[in-house]
Amino acid sequence: MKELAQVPIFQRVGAAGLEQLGGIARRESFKPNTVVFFQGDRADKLFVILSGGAKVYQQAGDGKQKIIGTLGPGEIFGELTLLDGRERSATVETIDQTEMLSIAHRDFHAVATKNPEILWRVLEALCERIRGLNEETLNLAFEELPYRIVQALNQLVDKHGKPGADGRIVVKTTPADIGKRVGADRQESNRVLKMLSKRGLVELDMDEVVIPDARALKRALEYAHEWF
Amino acid sequence: MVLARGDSRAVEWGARLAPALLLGSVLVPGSAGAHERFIKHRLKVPLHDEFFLQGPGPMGINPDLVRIAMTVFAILVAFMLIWYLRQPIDAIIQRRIVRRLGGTAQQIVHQLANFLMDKPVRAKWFQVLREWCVILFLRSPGLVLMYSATNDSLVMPSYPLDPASAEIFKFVQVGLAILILTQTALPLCGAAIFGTWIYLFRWGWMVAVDAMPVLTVAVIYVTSPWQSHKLAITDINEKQMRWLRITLGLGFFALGWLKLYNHDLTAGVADNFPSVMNDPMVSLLKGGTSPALPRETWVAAFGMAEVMSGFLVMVGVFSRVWTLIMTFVFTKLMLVDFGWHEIPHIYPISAMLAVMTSNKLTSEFERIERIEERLGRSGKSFRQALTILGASVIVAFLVVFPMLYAMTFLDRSKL
Repeated sequence: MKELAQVPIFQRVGAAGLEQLGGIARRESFKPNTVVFFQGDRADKLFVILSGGAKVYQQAGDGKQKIIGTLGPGEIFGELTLLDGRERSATVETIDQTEMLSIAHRDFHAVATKNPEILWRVLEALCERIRGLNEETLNLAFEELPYRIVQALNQLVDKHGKPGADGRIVVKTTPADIGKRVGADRQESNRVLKMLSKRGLVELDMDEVVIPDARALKRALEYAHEWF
Repeated sequence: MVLARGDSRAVEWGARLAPALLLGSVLVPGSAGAHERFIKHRLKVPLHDEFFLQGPGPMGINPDLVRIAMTVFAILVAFMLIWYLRQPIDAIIQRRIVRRLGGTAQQIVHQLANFLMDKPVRAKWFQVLREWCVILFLRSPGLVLMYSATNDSLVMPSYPLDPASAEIFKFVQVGLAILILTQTALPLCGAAIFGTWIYLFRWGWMVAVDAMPVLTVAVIYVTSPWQSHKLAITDINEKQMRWLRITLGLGFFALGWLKLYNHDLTAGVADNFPSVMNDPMVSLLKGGTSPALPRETWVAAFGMAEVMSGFLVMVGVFSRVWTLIMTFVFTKLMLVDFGWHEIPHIYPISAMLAVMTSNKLTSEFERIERIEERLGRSGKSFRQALTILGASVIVAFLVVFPMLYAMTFLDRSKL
C-alpha cells in the first residue's frame, strides 16, 4: 500500500481506495530485456512501474523497430487498451531489472468507478503521451537528424539520467536504440553520435551513453540545426 | 454521365469479368478430352461399393466410415476450441514460461507462437520469404501453362488437347503464360482463367471441381490493377488474402467430398501409386478401422482429411498450420509419389505458401470471437465457455455428418 501511495496516479486516492487497489494489484518482477507484452497481444491489464525502466516500441512488418518512448518509476502503461478494449498497440520491453504492479482491467475499472480521480490521472498520462507524439511528428517533419538525436538524448537525460560519482550522467540505452527513437537507420544515427562524441557531448558504450555535461547537451539544441 | 459509386463499381467489375464469360462461351465448341494420361488411375481390384452406400450401421452409414467421420469431427472441434482459446493459452505460456527466458529466446518463441496463431510475424526474414512466395504464386501459373502447352494439354496435363485444335490452344496458352510471367494485364489473365474454368464444365462438374484451386490466383489477378506490368506486386492485401484463402479452402473441401463420391478414381490412383497411401494424417484418421477393407477406409480417410483441412483453411482457423501440412503433402505427391508429371502441383503449393507467409490473415469466426471476448470481459465465464463449445460442436457436426449421410444415398453406377 505504501508503494501504491507513492505512485503519482494514485496519490489523491484515499486510504480506502488504496486498500482496494492493494487487494487487486499484483507485484511482478522482470529481468532486463524481457518483453512485458507484445504489440498485437490481447490486453487484459495495465501496469505501473515501481522501479527500473522499460522502452515502448512498435514494429513494422519487416521487423524494423520504432521506439515511441521510455518509461520510468511511477509511470503507467497498458492504459490505452483499458479505454478502447483493442489489442496492444506497442511492445513494452524492460531495459533493466524492473518491478511492476499489474492490475487487471476489470478490477481497475471497478476501483476507478468509485474513485474517478484515478481516471483523470490516467487521462493526464495519456495526454502527455499524445503531446509527446505530436512533438515527435513535428520534429520528424521539420527537424534534421542531429537535432532529433540531441533532443532525444536530452529527453533521456531528463527522464532516466542517473548522475554518477563524477557528476557525469549515465543513460542506459544503446546507440541503436537512439536511432530507433528518432526514426533513423543505424548507420545514420551512428554517424551523428560519433560527431557528438567528437565534440565531447557524449561518450558511447555498448549498453549505455554517458553525458559528461548535461547543460552543454541542452545548449547543443540551440545550434544542432546547423549540423547537417 | 455521372455514375453512382455502386454503378461505377459494377461497370468496373463487369469490365474485369466479361472476358471470362466471353472466353468460356468461345471455348465451349472447342475440344479437349479428359482421360487417363499421365497419372494412371485404373482400378486393379474393384472396391466394395457398399462401403460408401446405405447399409448396416448408424443411420445406414458403414461403422468404419462413421469412425473416420467421428475422428475428423473430434479434430475439428479440438482445433476450433484451441482457436477460440488461443489468446488465453498464449498469455499463460507467455507468463509462465516465455517471460522467464527473456531476450532473444523470448522473441523467437513469440514469433513462433504468432506464426502458429496466424498473427503477424514481424521479422525481416519472414518479409523476404513472403515477398518471394507472392512472386512465385503470381507467376507459377505461367510455368504450368508453358508445361501444358509443350505436353499438348489444357492447363492440367490430365486434359489433353484435341489434335485438330491443339495448335491454336497451345499458342493461346503460351500467350497467356507470357502475360502472366510479365505480369501484364493481370485482370485479363484472371478473367481468362475464370473463363477456362467455366469451360471445364463442358467436361462435367467433377472436372470443374477438380480445377477449383486454379481459381485462387484468378481471384488475385482479377482484383489487381490494370497497370500491373509497371508494379512489383510482392504483397497480397487483406481482402485479396481472404478471398484467396476462401477459394483455396473451398476447392480442397469440395475435392475431399469428390474423392469420396468418385471413390474408384481415388482408389485407382492408389492402386497405381501405392506410396500415396503412406500419409501420417490419413493413417491417423484411419486408426481403429477394420483391416478387412484397407483401400475403402483409405479413400474415406484421404477424402475426409481434405474436407477437414480445406474447411479449416476456408474459415481461417490455423490457416498457417494447415497450409504448412498441405504444402508437405503436395510436395511429397510431386517429388516422391507421382514424380515429374505432377510438376503442375507447384501451383497449389505456391498458393499454400502465399497463405502461410501472409501477415494479413483473418478468420471467418471473428464475429463469434468478439461475442466470446465480450462475455469474458463482463465476467460471464460460463456463458463464454458455452458459446465456444457450442459453436465448435455445431460447426464441426454440420461440416461432417449431413454431407456424409447424403453421400450414402448417391448412385455412383454412371460415373
